[in-house]
Amino acid sequence: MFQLDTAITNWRNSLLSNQNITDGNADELESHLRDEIDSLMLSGLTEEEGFMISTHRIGDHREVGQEFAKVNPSLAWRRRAFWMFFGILVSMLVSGIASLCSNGSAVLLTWLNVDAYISGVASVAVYIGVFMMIMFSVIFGLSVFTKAMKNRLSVSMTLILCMLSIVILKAAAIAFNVLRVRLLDIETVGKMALASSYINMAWSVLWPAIVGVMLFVLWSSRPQRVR
Amino acid sequence: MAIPKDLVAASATPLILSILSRGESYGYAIIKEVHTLSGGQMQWTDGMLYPVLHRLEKQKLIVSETRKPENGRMRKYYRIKEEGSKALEAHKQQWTAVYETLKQVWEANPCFS
Repeated sequence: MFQLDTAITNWRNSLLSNQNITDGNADELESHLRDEIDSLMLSGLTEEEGFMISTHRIGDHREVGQEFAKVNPSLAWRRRAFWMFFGILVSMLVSGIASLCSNGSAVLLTWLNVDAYISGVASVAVYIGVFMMIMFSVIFGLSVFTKAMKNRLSVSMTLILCMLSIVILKAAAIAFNVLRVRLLDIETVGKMALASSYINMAWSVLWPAIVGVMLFVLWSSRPQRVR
Repeated sequence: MAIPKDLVAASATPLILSILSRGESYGYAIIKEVHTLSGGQMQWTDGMLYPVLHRLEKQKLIVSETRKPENGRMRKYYRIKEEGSKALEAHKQQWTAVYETLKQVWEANPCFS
């Protein structure tokens, strides 16, 4: 059974997947499409026939997108920059969550009277583990995620939530550190810091390498332009 | 007789400005009007009209306003501006000049075939 609204929503989403077409452009084209379908149905066609003919008359998405690009050449780059900065925000958020877990584990291990060196190492290991886990689930869940980010409201909600969580996580991290310095004697704090600093150094080399590999993988899997 | 693509593209701007000089309109209505005026000889790919409208708006020849008319759907209405009317005058002169030139040649060398 042909569902007109579903068909139009799919058509619209496919239109919006073109980087040069904005929400406003899509609104205008959708209103045009609906006008045309209405008029074709008045002349006796079914919804499905009306839809087929109208979408054909509007034209190929890529060609239409190219024409829009000539009017607004910077749009595609603005969208890319948006995703780049959004990526920075997400990475801040993920690192905030990871350090919360790491601080939590440090406090737990100290409370269990585990050796300061070991708990220092363990807390950084927890940081790296959690960071990698979330980061990779974000990357592989990206297709679901970008679908959810289609409308303006969900985008702004996501951004606001991200920023709020980052602020809260940073505040928690500061509180944890103050607590640790207050509760533990200076020697234990020093030992833990020393142990974690070694792994942190390794991490500071490892992380850029991972990002580099990820970029390489994503670059080679980008869609090739068909000629 | 279908008018070739490049001629349709070249005449798009003066045609849109002329239609809007009669009063405000929106994309779908403009396409319908072009179709009626040309007796179906000018076939536009519907989607191609909008980039042209947006370019004219960017050049400040026309302005747009999005609103929902009574018992209608949300539409973007376009209106011609002072600058647009001036541009239209220039277009008219250019097209008339082209037409006059062709006419002179055709009248001087009548085609009997």
